[in-house]
Amino acid sequence: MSAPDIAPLLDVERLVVTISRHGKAVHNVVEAVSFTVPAGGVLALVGESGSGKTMIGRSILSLLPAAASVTAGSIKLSGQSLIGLPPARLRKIRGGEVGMVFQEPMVSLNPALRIGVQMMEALQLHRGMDDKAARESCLEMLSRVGILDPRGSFAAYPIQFSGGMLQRIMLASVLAARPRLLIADEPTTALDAISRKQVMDLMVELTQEIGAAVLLISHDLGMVSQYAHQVVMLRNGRLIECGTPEAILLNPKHDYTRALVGALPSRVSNGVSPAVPAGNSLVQIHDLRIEYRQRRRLFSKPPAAHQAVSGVSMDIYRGETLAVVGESGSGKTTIGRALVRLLDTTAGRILFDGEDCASFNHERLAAFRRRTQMVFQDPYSSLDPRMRLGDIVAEGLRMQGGLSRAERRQRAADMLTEVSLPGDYLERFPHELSGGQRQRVCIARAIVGQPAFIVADEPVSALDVTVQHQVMTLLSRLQAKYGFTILFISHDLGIVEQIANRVMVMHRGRVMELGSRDDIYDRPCHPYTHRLLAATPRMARRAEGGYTLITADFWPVAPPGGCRWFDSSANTDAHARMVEIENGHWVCCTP
Amino acid sequence: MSSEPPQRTRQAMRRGPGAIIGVGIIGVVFLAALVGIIHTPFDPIEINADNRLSAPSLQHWLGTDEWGRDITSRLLAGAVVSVTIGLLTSLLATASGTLIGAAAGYLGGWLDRIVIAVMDALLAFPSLIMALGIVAVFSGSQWAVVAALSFSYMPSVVRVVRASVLTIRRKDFVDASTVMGNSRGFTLGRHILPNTVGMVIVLATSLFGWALLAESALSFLGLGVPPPAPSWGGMLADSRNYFEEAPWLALAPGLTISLTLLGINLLGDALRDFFDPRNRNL
Repeated sequence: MSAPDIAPLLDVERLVVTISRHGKAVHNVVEAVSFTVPAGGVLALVGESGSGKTMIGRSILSLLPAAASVTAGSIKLSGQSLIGLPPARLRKIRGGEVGMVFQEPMVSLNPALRIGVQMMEALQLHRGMDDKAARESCLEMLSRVGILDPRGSFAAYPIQFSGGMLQRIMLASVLAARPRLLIADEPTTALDAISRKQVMDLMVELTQEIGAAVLLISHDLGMVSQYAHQVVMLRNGRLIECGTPEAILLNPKHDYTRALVGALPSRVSNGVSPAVPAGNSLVQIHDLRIEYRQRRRLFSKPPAAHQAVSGVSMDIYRGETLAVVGESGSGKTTIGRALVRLLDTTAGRILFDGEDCASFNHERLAAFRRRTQMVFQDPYSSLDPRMRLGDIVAEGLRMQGGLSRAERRQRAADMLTEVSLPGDYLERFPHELSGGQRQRVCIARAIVGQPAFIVADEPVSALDVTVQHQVMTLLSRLQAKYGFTILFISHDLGIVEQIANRVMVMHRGRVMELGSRDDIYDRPCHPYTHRLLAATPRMARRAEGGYTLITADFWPVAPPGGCRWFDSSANTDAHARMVEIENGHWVCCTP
Repeated sequence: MSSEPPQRTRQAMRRGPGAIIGVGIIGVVFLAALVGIIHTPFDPIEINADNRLSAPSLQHWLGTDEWGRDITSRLLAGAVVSVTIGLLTSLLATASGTLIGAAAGYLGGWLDRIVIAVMDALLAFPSLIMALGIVAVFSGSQWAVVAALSFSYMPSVVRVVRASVLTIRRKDFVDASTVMGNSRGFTLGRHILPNTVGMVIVLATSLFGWALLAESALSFLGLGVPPPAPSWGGMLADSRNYFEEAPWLALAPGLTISLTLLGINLLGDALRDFFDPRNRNL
């Protein structure tokens, strides 16, 4: 892709944004950054947290937080300066000429107003339409973004939609005003892989249609590379590199870009053979079913149970990393929580080391708890804010028995060193740590008692790309040292590819496909696996250096014996069963 | 470690003079209560008909009341009553409310539903009316006042603590504690309750203030501490007939109550900050 060759629509020159406290400048979060966006072009600002990318986006529409202000440089839209505009003029530009889409669709729409009212507001304000014209235009836009029932949605409230649908509605309402520039700040970060791709595709398509340029703000270099004409790499508020995405991936010039590109998920040999060591199962699951039942209310029919997991059978082998992938709502987290007994199962059996978990008495349960652990997704909620790190990690040893307080302290200190945290962190509190450091503490707490089995529920999805890479490396290293088994739950196929021996693909509570990593990534069979792979941008290391983007373009091949593929739309089919199409490679289909 | 308290005190001072003022006022009130137990310049109860409603003077710093009793002495003696009632009420209501609210919020299920139904029913009565009813039945002493006020404030504590436990128990660190094999009681005591401390302290200090006010209101209605024993609320109540001739009768206890409330609120905020680990090691 090449950028259309027109005079710049947005021209940002030597922009400086300064944070000040009590009237005194503290530091610059954006330091002399210059770039231009041509009309109809797509430019991506890429950086990790703290890189200043959001500040740049916000300064364009004068939406900076109170402590921050533009102290030097210029921002011009079609030659007209946007800095220091009178409020009336600014309001015309906001939403009219420049539209903005935010990361969290759930909080960027007003929950108390109907979708239609919110959409029409912008049209009436900026394009002077009357009610009828605005309504027509909105309905047209809603059906354009793939909302099935535009009229019904028009009268609905935001809470009735999923995150992906809300982001489409946001796009529809922002683009209905036909802006010349769309600022999209991490528009798909809160969505899962499949809706992420759909929303991005839609956004690029629609903006091309109305000729709007896009300023895409993201931390995800892989995702951005598929859509942007130009990429601007930012770090600590400075521009460190810019160019076409191909050039940056192939030949990153700056050290940091190289580190970032190197941290992108790519196929690496993890030293463990993907061959299936059959017959040595640590965990066996037979026909597991988990239902969520809502509380029955007085005088009403008992509510229908929601099947979060319906009929899953699998084995987890000793020492392996089994990844469970799927969209939100696929039941992957539910399985993980059931395996560490945070949830009760409805039917089916879970055997841990040959013992039925349902038959545990108090003593057996205590023994089970010593041998299983969990690492949680959100490092900001998984550490008790009132406890010092030393106590947090030492608590993982409390139930091990036979250890004095001093011994527990010592083991906790050793463990902190093992996860590469300085020894003096023992006395610190969680709030003093970054997200990545917190996740290290969570890992230390989980493995300090040397468990046999760890459920890791999206352990890196809240972290920056380079930090993700470090945490994943740490987890692999510790697994090699202590030999625990990991159930790795993730929606990110790129990360799974780096760590998993085997992969299980789930969709709406069922297993779609289960096989070794190479089975799933190189010889995927189920259509749903194809959709997932196609939605995940992945990198391939080139022999001559650098990376290229893989866009999966597989097509299902019929397995020997032949069967009608289990279509995701017909998922409730009770006849679906798992078929082993080659050794250890199972696919769900209907006979 | 040994350098920590002074460092934290310095931080407290940097955050503003509120904490110091709060500690100062409450310190003076407690000191007054202590002095009131040991010694008062005049007998706070004995009637002196020659000396009715005398204005503040060198002998009677704050004047005398309609029975000729020294206001200063009565304020000091009243401090004992008011501090006892405020402290005991806020302790009792907070302790019982925290216990019930935490159990209901953490254990959930039918226990939670029953507790909430009962507490909502109790909350439907204005707490002062409820206290009035209880005191009317078990009248006669300040202990009745303490019991009545504690019982009528307890439901609010239950609701607040339960709501906060409900939020905290959804955090991952609570699940982490379960996965580590900790019992429910341990999880509640180690991870959930400590995280409600900041809020409970603010609540307890404001309860102290409410109890002080409610005791005044009860005395005003003649149902508080039985006369002739002095209490700040009772003094304020008695002053209303003489407001024009002897305004100091109302001013002295009125100002005392207001200042104490101010001090309590400042102290509450300071304590909350002090117990929040986010304010340490920065």
